[in-house]
Amino acid sequence: MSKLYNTEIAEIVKTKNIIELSDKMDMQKKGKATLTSEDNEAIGLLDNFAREIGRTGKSSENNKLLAEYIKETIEPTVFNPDESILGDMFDIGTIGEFDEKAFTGLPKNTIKVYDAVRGGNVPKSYVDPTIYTKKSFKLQAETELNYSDLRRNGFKSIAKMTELALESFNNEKFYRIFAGVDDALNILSGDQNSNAGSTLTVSVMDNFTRYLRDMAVDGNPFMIGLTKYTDPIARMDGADKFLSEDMKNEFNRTGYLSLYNGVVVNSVPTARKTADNKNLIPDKRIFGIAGKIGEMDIRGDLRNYETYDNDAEKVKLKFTGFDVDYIIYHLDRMARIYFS
Amino acid sequence: MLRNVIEGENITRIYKVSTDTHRGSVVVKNLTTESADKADSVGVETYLLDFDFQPTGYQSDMEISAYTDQADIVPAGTLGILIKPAVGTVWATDQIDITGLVKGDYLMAGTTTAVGKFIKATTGKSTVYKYVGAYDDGGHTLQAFEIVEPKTIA
Repeated sequence: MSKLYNTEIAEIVKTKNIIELSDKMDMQKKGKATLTSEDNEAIGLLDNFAREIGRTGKSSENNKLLAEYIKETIEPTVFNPDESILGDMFDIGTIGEFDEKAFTGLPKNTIKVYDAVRGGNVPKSYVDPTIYTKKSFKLQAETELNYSDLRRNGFKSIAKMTELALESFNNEKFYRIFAGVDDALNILSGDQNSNAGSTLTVSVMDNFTRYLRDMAVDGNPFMIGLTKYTDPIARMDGADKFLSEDMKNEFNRTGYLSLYNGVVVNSVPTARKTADNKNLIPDKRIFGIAGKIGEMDIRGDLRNYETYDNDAEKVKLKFTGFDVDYIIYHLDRMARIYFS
Repeated sequence: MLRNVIEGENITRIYKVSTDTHRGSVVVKNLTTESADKADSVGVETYLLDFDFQPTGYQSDMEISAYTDQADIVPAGTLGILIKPAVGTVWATDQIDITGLVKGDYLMAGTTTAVGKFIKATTGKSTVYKYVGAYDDGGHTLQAFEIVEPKTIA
């Protein structure tokens, strides 16, 4: 009703009593009262107003609606991983589509020394450079839209499809990189590849974090895993002895510890999945990174092709050229805990 | 529901549909009545039915799922699109009965209650449809098939 009070009608309703007015009209018909010119004006306006509402559902000033069609748009929760993690793990760069990059590894120092006295020989030792193999993956996505979708101006537009394709590419890239790191860790052993069985224990965690701190370069090493593996760190058997009051407060407030034994704890939500229902990092793992482990290059540019089919009135969209090369050369800066 | 999985050059013909038919059904052209009937026990000289649905009126600025009956069924007596798919293209549909189907089996149109739907092809029939597995359409499971050269089931 508040919008009503901007008009003449509003004035009339404020100054005149409608019931009185209608009574007066009635009495006038019976010859017992006369309406003033003001009254007549008021009646005329009210009459018009009522007629118009009945006909169109809105007044001529178009400031009153009888009923509203309320539309709410609900967007699905989008889950995108925090890409800054990749920046902490790799030196990220770009490379031209037709370029090539070669990695020469300087050999580890494997010259052995022996006790000696004058005038004799000791066994020779040799050095050999390591070979690093580059891994790469190339991704593509396709979809189609009707011309009528483009004309109707709903959510389906080429821009929206491109945005969704890019989101899917980035999520898949995140998963593939971690799957590659997981693969590289398969050949390592000892503290770099600890088997925690079914529950995490303080001794496994200590070995893992000690290794990471030993190998750390520039700043804190970090670990990353699904929340179902990193949250229970605070609850390990025997861990509560070493939790300070502050740490316990933090745990109670947030549900996880952000720093354990000098290693930053990063986590990826377990409940949130990507478009094809996968978790963003491999299951049953906690990865530990002690510094930059390699390089990642985005090769060339994303290519988007639109093919217009006038007969079927559809436009076919092809998103391709999402090529990523990566190489892991500091194998000694990685570690992992795996669960059975 | 009909989804095109692998593209190709297809023939798309506007044709009248005789009964309420779902998109993705396999139909034949009835030249006497000049309308498309749901195919019955054949695998050749068939077409796939499709339709470009857009909501109108008060629904026009809402997003309607293409899986609702309103968007998926071509009403009897109205025009739909008959697609003659090219050899090598791959399509996915939900108008299919997967009893006894494994990848590599041939498909043909069913009969009685399964007219217009794909079923496993029986001996002696010729068909151009070959089943290649399930297709996930954002949570809806469709079945994918490829168009091949005509094959008579031995």
